[in-house]
Amino acid sequence: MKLPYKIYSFKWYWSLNRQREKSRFKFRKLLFKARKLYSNETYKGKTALNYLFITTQSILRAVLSVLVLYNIEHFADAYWQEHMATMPLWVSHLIDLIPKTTYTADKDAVLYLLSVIASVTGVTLALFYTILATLASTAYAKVQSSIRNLIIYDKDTQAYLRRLTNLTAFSITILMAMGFHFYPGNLILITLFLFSLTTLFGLLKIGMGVYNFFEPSVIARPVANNLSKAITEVTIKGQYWDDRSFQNFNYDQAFIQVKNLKLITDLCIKGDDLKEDSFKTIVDSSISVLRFYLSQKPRIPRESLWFPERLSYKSYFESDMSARSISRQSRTYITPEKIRDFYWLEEKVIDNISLSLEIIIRHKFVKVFSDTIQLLYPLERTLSFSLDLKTGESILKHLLLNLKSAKSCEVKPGESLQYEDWIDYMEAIEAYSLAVFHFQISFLNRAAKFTAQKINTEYEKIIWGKVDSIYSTDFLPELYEVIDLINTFVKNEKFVEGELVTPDWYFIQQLTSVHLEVLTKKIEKSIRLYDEYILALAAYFDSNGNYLLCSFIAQKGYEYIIKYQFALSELEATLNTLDSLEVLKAEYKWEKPDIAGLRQLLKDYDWRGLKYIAKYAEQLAVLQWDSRFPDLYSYTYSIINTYINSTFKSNDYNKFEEIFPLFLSATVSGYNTLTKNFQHYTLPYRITYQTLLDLMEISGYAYLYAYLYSDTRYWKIVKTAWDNLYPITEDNIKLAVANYSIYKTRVLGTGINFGEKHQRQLVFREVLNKQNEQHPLLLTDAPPYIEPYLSLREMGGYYEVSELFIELYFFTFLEARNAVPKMQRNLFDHWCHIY
Amino acid sequence: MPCQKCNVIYLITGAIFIDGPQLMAMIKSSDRISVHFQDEAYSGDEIKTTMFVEDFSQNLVPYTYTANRTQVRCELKPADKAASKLIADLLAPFSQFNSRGDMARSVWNAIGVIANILVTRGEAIFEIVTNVDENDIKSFSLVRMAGQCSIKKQKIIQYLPVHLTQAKGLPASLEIPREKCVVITFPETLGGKKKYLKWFAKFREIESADPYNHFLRNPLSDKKGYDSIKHHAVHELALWSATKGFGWNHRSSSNKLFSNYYTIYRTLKFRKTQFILRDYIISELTEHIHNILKQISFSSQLVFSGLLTIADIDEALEEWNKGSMDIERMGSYLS
Repeated sequence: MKLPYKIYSFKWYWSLNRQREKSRFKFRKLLFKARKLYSNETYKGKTALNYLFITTQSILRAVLSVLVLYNIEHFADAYWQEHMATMPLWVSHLIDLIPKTTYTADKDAVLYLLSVIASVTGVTLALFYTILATLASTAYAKVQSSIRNLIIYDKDTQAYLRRLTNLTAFSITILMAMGFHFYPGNLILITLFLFSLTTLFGLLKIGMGVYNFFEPSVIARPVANNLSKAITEVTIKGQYWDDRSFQNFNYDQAFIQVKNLKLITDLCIKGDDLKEDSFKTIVDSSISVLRFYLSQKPRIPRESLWFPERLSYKSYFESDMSARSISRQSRTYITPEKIRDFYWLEEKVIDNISLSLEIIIRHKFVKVFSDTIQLLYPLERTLSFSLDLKTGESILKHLLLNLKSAKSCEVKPGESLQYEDWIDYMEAIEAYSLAVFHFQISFLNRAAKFTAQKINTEYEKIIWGKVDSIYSTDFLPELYEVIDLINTFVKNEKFVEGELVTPDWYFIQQLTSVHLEVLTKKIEKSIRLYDEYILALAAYFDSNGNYLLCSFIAQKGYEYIIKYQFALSELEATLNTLDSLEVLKAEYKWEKPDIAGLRQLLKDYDWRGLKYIAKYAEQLAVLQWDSRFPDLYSYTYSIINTYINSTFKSNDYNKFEEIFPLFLSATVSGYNTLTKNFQHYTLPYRITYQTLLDLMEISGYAYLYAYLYSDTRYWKIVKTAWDNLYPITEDNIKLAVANYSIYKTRVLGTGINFGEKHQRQLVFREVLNKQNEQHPLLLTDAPPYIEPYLSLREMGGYYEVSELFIELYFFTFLEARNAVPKMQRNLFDHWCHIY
Repeated sequence: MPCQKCNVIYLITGAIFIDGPQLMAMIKSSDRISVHFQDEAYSGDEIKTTMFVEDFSQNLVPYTYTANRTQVRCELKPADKAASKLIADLLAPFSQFNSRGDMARSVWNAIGVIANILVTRGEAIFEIVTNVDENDIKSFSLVRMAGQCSIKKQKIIQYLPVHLTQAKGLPASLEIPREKCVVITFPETLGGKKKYLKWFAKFREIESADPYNHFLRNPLSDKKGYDSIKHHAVHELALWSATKGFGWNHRSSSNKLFSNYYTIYRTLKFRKTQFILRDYIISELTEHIHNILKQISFSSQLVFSGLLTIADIDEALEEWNKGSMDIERMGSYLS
């Protein structure tokens, strides 16, 4: 309502306003209490019904048993009456000796019944509290009262105790009434009877449940429920989400519950004693609550007191006229701005989990550590959904520190490692690397969802002036500050002009500009996480000389890079659609993530990771492996094998120079290990021949690329590497050539490494075509011995590149020439034909 | 306040009226009737009102020394040096610095000063004074009549303040013949003098009630539940509402109250208001100058060219609304 400005200068306006706010708060408080009461009573009612349902079977069974007994009694009595005369006399005497009941003739029967019920329930009630007190003083002796109260205030327990008390109270009341000659009728007695039965049978279930309280995870449920309830109340779905007193109240409630969650987690870990299941359940509950919170967080208004405040000071020079005026008049600093802490809950829960994980890893529960990391995956994905880099990174940071604080990873030079000793840590590393991957990839995928269409759709959901409509949209959380500001703009414009002047396209452009700004910073940062959390861990293991773990984390990382590259392509397409929202050019900063730069960054990471892999290839090659573990050596071999081909493609001699000698030495060493590892094969050579064959083929290609790129260094580095790392003896030459011979004769020039061979052919033909376009005389000037390989169209499968290498390298050692009489020498023959 | 040496009197706009020993020493005789004294139509206490007056009256016309206004011209057609000098002398009292001889600069300055008087007082009254110097050369100058003036059919009465009449033995009022005066009132197209002055008083009243103006002496600050931020915000919006008709943008660019779009929209609207005032002053001033020139048998006419027009602003507003405005070009409309 538009009030004249003068009204605000009167004291009575502010008095009235205060009274109105106080009254509204009192009314809401009353309503809140009523709702809470109603909710509790409904729950208890439902529990009672539930118990009734659960115990009905038992009750029916009991009643039926009684009925059966009554029937037996009735028919037995009838039979007795009918055949009494014919019965032997001693039977009649025996019957007379059995005592007879006086219930039917005496009201004392009812009295006794009521007394018994009252006594039994009273005793049960007393015992129940004793058990709970014992529990609190033993299992939860060292925790604060808020946790102990959770045992007593467990809703199910509370509901049962209430029923038990009621039953006792009813019995006593009826006894009292009987004292005044008000005798209960059949209805009361039957009701009381049924009530007693349900309560008695209920004891079976609740009594068993009491001992579950020894498990701290049982208490986690009410804590998580209370926390979830407080969270729901502060979202726009809550009844008084816009009331500052209620926002504050719910914050306090949540703060207590988060503290409780920490205490319960601590109860699971006492030094070396870990309640594993309980711990996992509590962590899972914490993660579930946190995920629930993250899903609800965009629905919490940014101005809510749920987010605690902190002060942010401003310089006099950047302050507006009003702030300066107050500062001058009051001789004070510029009034600080109140900034909200949007991450308090996440930080507390994450810190709690991380601290527990630190204790766990310190006490060598590596398996539990791995399992717990896996529980974190859904949380990482949820964090990615809201592009919450801060919290996601906080988790990764703690995990990285925990992994580093694990047992000493230092390996002395020359010390050999065994898979068995490190497999648990490898599992933990794998779980950790997947956590990084899940976060990064989900982050990129989520960012790719914000197309121009999505932004328009979300914007259309907003009804200006209705805050709940703003918080029901699906924008990045950082944008809600801007949307709130736009809401103020709209309100003010309507107040001044009577209508909205600023068009929608302007606000959409403003929002998109902020969206892009946020995205640009976050995407780059998210890609850099690879360096900070994958390569950093590899560097740590590298500095400790632990080649097994270093190679393992580098290999895991190598696997993810290609997926990030794909995700970047999708993101690029999305970002291009956003350009259509920039109506007024240059009005707002239109900064987009540098996708080309990020791709290059990933390539650099790829290379850095590969260097770790190549560095330890030779040490991995001699490691004894069996099928219980992932084969790190063979994967290393495959990675370098492929990467060398990419260096040929991009003519990156420096990288080739760096990794080829390492690959050669690893392959030569690995050949012997493979022979041992695959002894169980009928024909082990069918496995082992691959390594030397690939090596010789790559070496042959190095000669061909040296020609294509006019860079003889390719061949020189190959020749030098062979000279230094493969002693030229007759046996060694025989071995190399024999492997080639196996390939050509035993496996008929095909083999399981055909895929790699095919890739090398494809790349070679691509480079050949490209170079041929630039240098037209490339084919005609080629020396005759390589001319057969330079086919622009055919795949050149007939002429083996490995044979070229054998001819050019091994057969230069003339004495060896006679040592290989059995080899097919197509190339050699071909030369013979030429000359 | 007046400068001790040259008797220069500053108005809140920074415009200066030169009167006193320096000028008078060269003049042998003058037919000036009105008396000059310092009068303050507006004290300048309120910051927003000060800004409004400044913004409304300044930058109405380009100064010849600004680089981006080289195409804007004010010239006599047909060219006449003697007439140019006469106009420059006539308008010399409006110039802050000595611009005698530079007719264009004198005209630009005069427009700015007249706008300032209109914005603060609602009307500007000048006496056409004929001066004869020591060489018996005749010249004219347009001097403002200070203080309270009453416009009659045949004459204009200037009321002198009591302290002046007592100190210098002057009469309580002076009568100046109507034909010796130039009267320019606030344009009717912008509401006219009466309506404008009423609005101006209201605007000042709103601003003076802002709690931030007397932050420490605010009687409400002890009141429980009092929110000075909200109270201030109400006044801010009331001020924005009050200036809606003129479109003044309160000098805010992209603040926390309004979108940048709306601020620019208001700026363009304000430029339009300024151009209405400018065109009005130009037409009034041109008419009076022509009358004076006619009296001395000059036939040249003042011609203005290269000025941005109201149509230009309308076009800019349309482009701004569609989002097709080039941001760099926007600068030329706003500066």
